[in-house]
Amino acid sequence: MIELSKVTKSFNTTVKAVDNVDLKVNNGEIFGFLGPNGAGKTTTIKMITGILAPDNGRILLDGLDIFKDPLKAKKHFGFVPDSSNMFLRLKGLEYLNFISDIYDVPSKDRKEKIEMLSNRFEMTKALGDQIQSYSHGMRQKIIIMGVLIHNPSVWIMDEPMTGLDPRAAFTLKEMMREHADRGNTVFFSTHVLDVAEKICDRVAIINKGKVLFCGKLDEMKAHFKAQGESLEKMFLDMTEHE
Amino acid sequence: MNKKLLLLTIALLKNGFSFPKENKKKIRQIILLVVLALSLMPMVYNIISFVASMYNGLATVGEEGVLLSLGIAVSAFVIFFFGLFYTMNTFYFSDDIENLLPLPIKSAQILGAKFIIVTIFEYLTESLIFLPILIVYGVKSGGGILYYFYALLIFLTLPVIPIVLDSMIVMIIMRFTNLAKNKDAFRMISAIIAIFFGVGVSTITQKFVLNQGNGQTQLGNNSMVAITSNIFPASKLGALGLINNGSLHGLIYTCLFIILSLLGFYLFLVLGNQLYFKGVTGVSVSSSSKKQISSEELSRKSIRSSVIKSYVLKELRILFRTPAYFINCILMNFIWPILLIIPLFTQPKSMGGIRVLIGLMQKEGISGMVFAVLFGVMLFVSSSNGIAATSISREGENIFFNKYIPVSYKTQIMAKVIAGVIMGIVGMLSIFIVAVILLKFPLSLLALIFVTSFLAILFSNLVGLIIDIFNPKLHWDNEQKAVKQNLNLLFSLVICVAFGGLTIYAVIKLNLNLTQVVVSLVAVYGILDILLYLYLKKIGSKIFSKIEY
Repeated sequence: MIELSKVTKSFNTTVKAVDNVDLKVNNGEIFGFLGPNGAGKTTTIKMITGILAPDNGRILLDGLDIFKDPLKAKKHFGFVPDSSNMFLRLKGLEYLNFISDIYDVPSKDRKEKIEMLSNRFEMTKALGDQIQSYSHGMRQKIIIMGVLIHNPSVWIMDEPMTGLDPRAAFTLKEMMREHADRGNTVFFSTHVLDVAEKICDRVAIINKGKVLFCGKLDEMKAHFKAQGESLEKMFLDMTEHE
Repeated sequence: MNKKLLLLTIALLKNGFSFPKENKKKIRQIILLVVLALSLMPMVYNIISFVASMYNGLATVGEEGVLLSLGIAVSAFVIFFFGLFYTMNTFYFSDDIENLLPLPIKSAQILGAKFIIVTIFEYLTESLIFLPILIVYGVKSGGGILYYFYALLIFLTLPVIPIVLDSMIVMIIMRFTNLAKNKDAFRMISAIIAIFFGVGVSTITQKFVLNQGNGQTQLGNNSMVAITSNIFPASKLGALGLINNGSLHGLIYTCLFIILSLLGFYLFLVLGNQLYFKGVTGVSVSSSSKKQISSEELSRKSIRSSVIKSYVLKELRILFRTPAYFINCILMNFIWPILLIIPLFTQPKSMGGIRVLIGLMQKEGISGMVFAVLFGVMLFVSSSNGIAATSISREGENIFFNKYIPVSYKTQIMAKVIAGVIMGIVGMLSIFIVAVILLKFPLSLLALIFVTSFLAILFSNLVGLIIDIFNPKLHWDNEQKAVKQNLNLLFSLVICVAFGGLTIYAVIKLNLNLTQVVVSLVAVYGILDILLYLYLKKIGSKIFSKIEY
């Protein structure tokens, strides 16, 4: 579960990157976070994960305050950042073991997990090579594997589909569904409205730091009295006149 | 001047020396630079007074010109030595070549711009060594405008030939290692070969010169200029140009010096066209083996270890595998023992000198002082690798990773300190091996040095981390900028050298014997280390948590 209440962040005194945002992502839910470029998606995600401190407001992960109880709260989520150029000189397996050590994954579990994940993401032949030899999509996959290996209850992903080939994107979507169905939380940002439309239980639309809408897609259609219109059309209408 | 060449040079330079955008940080950076400049003042003063007294001594035998030729030769040697690193970094590890190749610029312009950048770096080195000599000589000999004009010309052209030599060595070696599969590893190996080669060449010429100079010439009338300049043949021309600045000869010599440098540069362009681009393309492409890891191997490698151990290992792996880090942070630890060995082989007499030093160390009275000097050297050596002083900077744009993982900032900071301490100890042990095998250092003495040096290594790493945590250089686009063009390394080096100097000064002033020195060093630096540790643990963690990219 993720809860944001009255979260505000500004990088200079005039413009608020995130403005008084309230959000609640429930257990058992895939939640899509939508918005145009520069809307405040990544800033919000950085605050949820403890990378940036908000100016005001409170953020809870499974009931734990990310700034008051950071180490405990950080164990509850796994994060896929928008840049996958990390630890390029480590081999894939070394990276997974490093992450496993950080998150206290026992030796027995990690072996099983590594075998299962590398099979599902077709990475079995890449684990012995340095990450810098990977393609963009493979880098994305190894980072996703790093999140899944420690089995956190909350998944937070910033544009996770970028660069993935169709099969890997399909696998990831499948896994997101399985994870949510087990009563966990999946929170991800995306530009691709199709993806949001197909797999999200609920979405929020953010523009210029403000949440314009939060709820189920059907509710959104009802809310805007836009029966029959595509999400894309609604999205464009909503974020255009500002 | 060629406009594109100029633009490219400026672009590459700007890319390298970007001041922080925020005003607060900019001011802090400027203040730090001023402090740094001020802290160098005593050193500059010492150099000037040393040069002045040398001038006086030489002038009594009519050999003051030696000062110039020696100055040119020594500067050329120092430029050559540092140039090996600069050329490797600028030409091969700056990762910009793949962005430059698609642009409509000639290959000669890329080569030229990179050459100029290295030359500009070298002017900084040169102004510390050669500038004081030029000025002292000018003032003392009452040089006119022509002298200073020639001096400026020679100052500007002096780095050219050494850098041409450097880049030739580096380009030839890199051309052939580019054929290898594991590029990173081969590049690092070639860096080692280039350094050995460079050091070898300079020691051989040194030996040659020393053997020649055994008093066959008559003193007087600056006749020794010819001998000293054997170290660097062109230095004779430069020196003679300056000495004879009043006559036509001076002009001719100076012109010859400049022509020789220009020829060297031309040679560089020709060779560079042949060698450089073939050697540098594909630098960042790395091959993969695409081998499946067997189940046993997976079990063997997937053993749980403690967070701190895993973190330290990660730091070391990245330091060893990233060429820019390997050359600047790892290789540095092994440079000192090499520098220690070379004179022993090329000049057997120096062995005797060191034996005398060891004798002194066991003698009452002076032993404490020698020990303190060794301690100061250790402080310098361990801070020169910059592992701690660049450890936060090296995270770069990925600093966000450190902030979302469930590992306390204290643990992360300590892991970084430990990585630096481990490499410091490895460097120290490599010096010890040389000391025991070649110099027959008594082991009991080494044990004492080990204990105090360990405290020195810890001290320099703690200081380095504190400096880097306050003002990390996170905005870089290739790894060499994180370590090579990072002022934090310089700041921590200056602080450690200052502490080393203070320690030596105090020991001499207080006239302590060996036991007193060891006890007080352990006490003082033990307490300092604890205080720094506590500071890092408390304040450092807080500051780390506030670092934002």
